[in-house]
Amino acid sequence: MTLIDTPQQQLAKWRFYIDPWLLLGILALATLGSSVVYSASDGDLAFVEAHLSKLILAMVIMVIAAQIPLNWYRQFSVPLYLVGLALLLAVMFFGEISKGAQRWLDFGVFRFQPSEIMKLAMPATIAWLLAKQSLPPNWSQLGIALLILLIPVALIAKQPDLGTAILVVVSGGAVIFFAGLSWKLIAAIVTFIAVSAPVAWNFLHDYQQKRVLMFLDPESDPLGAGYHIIQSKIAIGSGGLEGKGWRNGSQTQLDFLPESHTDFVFSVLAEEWGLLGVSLLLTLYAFVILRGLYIAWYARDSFGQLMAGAITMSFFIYVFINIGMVSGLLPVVGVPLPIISYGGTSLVTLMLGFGILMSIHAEHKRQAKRHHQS
Amino acid sequence: MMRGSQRDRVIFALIVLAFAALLFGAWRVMIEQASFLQQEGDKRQIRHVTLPAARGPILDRRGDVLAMSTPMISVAIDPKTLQGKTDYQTSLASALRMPLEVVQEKIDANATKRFYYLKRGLAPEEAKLIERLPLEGVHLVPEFKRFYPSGEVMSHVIGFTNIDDSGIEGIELSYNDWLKGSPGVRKVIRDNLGRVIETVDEIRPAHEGKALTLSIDRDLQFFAYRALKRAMIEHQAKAAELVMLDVKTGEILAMVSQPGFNPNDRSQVTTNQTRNRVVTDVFEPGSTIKPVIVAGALELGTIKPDAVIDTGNGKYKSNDKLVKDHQGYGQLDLAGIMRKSSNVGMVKIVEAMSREEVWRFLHFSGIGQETGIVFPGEQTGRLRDPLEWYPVTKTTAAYGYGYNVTLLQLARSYAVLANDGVLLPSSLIKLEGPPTQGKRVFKSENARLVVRMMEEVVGMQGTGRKAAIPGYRVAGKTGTTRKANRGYDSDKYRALFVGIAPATAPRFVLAVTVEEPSRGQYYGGDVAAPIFKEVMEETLRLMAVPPDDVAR
Repeated sequence: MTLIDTPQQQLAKWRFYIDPWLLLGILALATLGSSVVYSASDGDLAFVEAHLSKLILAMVIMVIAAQIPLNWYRQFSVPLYLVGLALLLAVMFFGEISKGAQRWLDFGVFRFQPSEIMKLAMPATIAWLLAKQSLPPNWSQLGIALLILLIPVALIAKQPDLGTAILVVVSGGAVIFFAGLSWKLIAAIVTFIAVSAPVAWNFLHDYQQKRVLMFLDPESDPLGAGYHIIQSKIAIGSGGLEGKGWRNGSQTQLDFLPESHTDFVFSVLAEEWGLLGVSLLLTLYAFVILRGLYIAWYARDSFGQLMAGAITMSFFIYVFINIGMVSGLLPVVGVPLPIISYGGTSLVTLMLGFGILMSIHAEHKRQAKRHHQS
Repeated sequence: MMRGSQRDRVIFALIVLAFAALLFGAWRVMIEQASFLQQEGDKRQIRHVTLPAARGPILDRRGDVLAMSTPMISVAIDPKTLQGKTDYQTSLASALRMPLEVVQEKIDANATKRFYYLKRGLAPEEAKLIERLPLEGVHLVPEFKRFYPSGEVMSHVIGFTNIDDSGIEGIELSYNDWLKGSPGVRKVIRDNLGRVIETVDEIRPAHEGKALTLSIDRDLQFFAYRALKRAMIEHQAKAAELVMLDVKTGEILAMVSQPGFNPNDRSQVTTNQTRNRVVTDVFEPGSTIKPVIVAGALELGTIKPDAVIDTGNGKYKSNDKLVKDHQGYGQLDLAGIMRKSSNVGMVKIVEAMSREEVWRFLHFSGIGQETGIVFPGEQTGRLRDPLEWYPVTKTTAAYGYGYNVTLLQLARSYAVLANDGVLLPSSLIKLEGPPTQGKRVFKSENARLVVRMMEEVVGMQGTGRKAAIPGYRVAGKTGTTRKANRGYDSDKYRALFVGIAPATAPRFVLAVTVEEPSRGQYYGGDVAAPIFKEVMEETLRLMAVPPDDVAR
């Protein structure tokens, strides 16, 4: 056994890590999503091709991410977090304004939302911090973790991008929760939120307040802000048990449904595939989430546990917020339906997350291999 | 986070709960509220579209088309949707053959509207160019447009419709309810931009309006129009009108006013041109009313048919009014009074009548009354109640002043004499079935007597000799009135001639007037009588009326 491996030996040592169960769930969702996007785009093949190429790119990133040892993520978490923070500040000063929000950085070749970085860098950083010592964390650790959490969230919420801010809070909050926040503290936080909500209300932008009000009573402005929700509910409701059939959803095909291939893609699925289609979708999501939790539970170390838990919980919150929004259970926040909705940068972040999840699970095999080789 | 810990169970429970909530939410919307929401969807997607119905055609008495509706396409846009779409605006402008600036201007000026007619009344083949464009923000609205093949000739009688195919003048207005069709209703599925995707159900088909057959004879109308227009130009007149009645039925066979207009292009039209003067303009009838007064006197017996009246030197004072003739005619019989149009003779005739009696015969001959046609803006003229008459009113009434009439009323009063003394309602609609029961005004022999007297007017010695038609016996009366205008203008005249032919068995009454002829001639006998002759001669030929004057 030499200390330095030859390239041939390195190649021989290299193993391909992938989690077949997670991959199966993701592929099933991607297939379902592509067919719905095809229908929502009114049979525009070029559109579906663009969607598929983005999916494939994101999945390639996922597979690559799965090969990277967990330790790398642990080491890169803090620098990535700092870069993300710097970019968020840059957005604040130089960002491109689009649709009334300052969210984008324009690098000439591509546009980029720095808040996407935070979706992964934030939980990784908090996980790194809390995993350094034995769990549960002490008070000073919790304080630092909260700071790490709240600074970028405040910047994102200011852009304003409520949807992403919520997702980032959830991913970071999940880490803290899994690390072992005491129940008393949780109760205190919940009480605090409940009390401060009316105060926070005043800090919301007009359009955000409007969305919440619209959620409470969409019929009050059926042609204005409530239009999206009403059309969406009509689409879902006209699906019935069995749906109207693929490419037969009248709300969708007659263009009554807004954003039908992005945020409101669930409504298309509901209208055309009915409650049965919705149940299939929820089952697939539940399968992916349970697999995520399984990986978290069996992760070898605290960092892996916390990170896997955070990724899975963010994914779950994505699903919950989007479906809750389009079916009128939650206010309208711009969150796409993960894997199903058409393209976007968030798809890359999402798949990168799954890649990390796979990498966490692959640690078992990596360990086993090291034992075997030593 | 440890396997099997309390925390795990909480998370697991939370996720299960959340999925249950989503599933419950979906169930509630998709099953419980499904029928309500499906109705809401239908409300948005299903529309009832109105199908335009063609207006009924207007025909002349022989069935020739005078007004017809053709299908057209109107192009409406949604300016809000088209905002800033320069490429599309350019192709739209070129398809419509409109300048791009005009299209852009209209889009910008109506930026907040969702529906604006960009161009109306395109021929279906013109609209084909637009149908090839993607129709985002553009609606093609089927409509009907009215066409008037006779143009100016029938313009006043028929009137016209507005852009929404509703009658606003003439017969088009007064018979709008008859002519207009009942629009159909079609149930369609439309998309969010209002484009019709599919027809679901034809709830009610569109029904074309009913056809309307006029009493007008198109050929006669054409001829009369040309004769009148030529005379109007020849005399440099301000206006001219004529109307022809069928004596036996009261139907109007021709009705022309000048100036006229082209009903197919009304961009430059003024009300001066669109007025149907035959029924809307009133004037004092002057000498043309004399036959009616004479018939009244005969009917009362206040004068005998063979009476001879001394008109002296042509000057006579009655009720402080100095009445004048052109010259002293001396002793005149009734026919002579008509022939010379002696005002003095007429005044002497009415001196034996009460004012109520004078009023009664004017009134029962239709003066001051509706004629029976249904026409917008028809005037009845003014014939005061006899209780309001001054003594001098009776004097002036004898030669046609102090009250006013429309040309149609005047023609109708002659039709009473021509129809053996029976008044019939006038009609612009072709009459079917048994003739209307009229009202007798004069005894048959009195009416015939007056017609025979009127023949002398057209004789060699009469004022109306230029109305004579070779081979036929014609009765008539000239009139030359000063136009009333706060007192009487000394140089503004109205030339009149009303005549009956053939006189032995009257078929037609034709009344002609020329307003303010300005080429020197202004007498009814010089200006109006030749038009009468020209038109009546052609009428007799067209209607194949056998000559009744072959002996002469």
